[in-house]
Amino acid sequence: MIPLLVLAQAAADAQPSPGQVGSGRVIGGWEFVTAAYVLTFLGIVLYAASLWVRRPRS
Amino acid sequence: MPSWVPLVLLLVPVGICLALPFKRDLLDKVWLVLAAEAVFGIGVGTYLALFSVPPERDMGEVVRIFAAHVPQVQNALLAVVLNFGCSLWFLIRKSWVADSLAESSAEVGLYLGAVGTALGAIWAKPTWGVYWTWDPRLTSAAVMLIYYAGYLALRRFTDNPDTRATWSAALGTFGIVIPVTVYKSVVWMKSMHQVQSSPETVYPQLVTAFRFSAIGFLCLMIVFIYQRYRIAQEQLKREVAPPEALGAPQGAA
Repeated sequence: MIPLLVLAQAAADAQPSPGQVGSGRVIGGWEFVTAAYVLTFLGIVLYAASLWVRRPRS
Repeated sequence: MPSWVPLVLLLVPVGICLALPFKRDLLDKVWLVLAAEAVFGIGVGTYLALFSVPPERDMGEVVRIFAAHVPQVQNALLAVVLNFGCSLWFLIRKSWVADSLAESSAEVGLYLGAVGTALGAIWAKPTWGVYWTWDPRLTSAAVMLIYYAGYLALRRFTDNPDTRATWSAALGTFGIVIPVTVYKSVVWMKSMHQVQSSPETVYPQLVTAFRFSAIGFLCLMIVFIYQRYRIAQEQLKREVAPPEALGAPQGAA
């Protein structure tokens, strides 16, 4: 019984840190989500700005 | 939000695109409607993906990246397929409208493809453990970006509009192999990338957000191509029209 409890405790201690693959599930990862959406909106703004700068003047 | 709303929204860009061959100046009047729909679609899609969708069983929170990654890559593929159609159109009919549209769609396709691929890399780090791997889907996407960057570079190699249009139309026509390979790579080759995303294959809770986002990016792509097309047409006018036709004083160089 005691070895089983030790194993269970070891498994609980072995939780992966946020954003890393461990038990087959991704834990955390909001920083990646934030980076993805920041990049998306930055891309839209920058490309729209480049079109504005190059717009036909006539 | 009812799931049929995005499908109704889809009627606007599809209807406008179907009407364009019959009314060429339609986008001059309605591009702001498409821009507003792009803001609405991307805004609602992002809101739902970030704040309404529960974490997925295996991917957890990072599944939310799909609502931005997939629509951008899909629309990049759509843009380069448009580049192929316009390139072929130019080779057959020598149409300057086709040449300007081909240039515009290649640039917008490159922009959407670059951001979409970068988002894929961001998603891959927490799920696959690496930002990049030489998987068939990723490799073919990288080849596509390099090819269309080369296409745009080729257009800078000559000042002769006719030569430039013919060279780039040939490149654009051969280029159709690439988006087809990108799309089918997950089926044709052993790939760790998911199969093509559709409402049947993506996380069911994400489908509505995904639809709003996809339609928003479709409208954004059309608006960007239209605005880039106007720039290309203006450049072409400057190159082929005599200076007096553009209002320059008589005798000016």
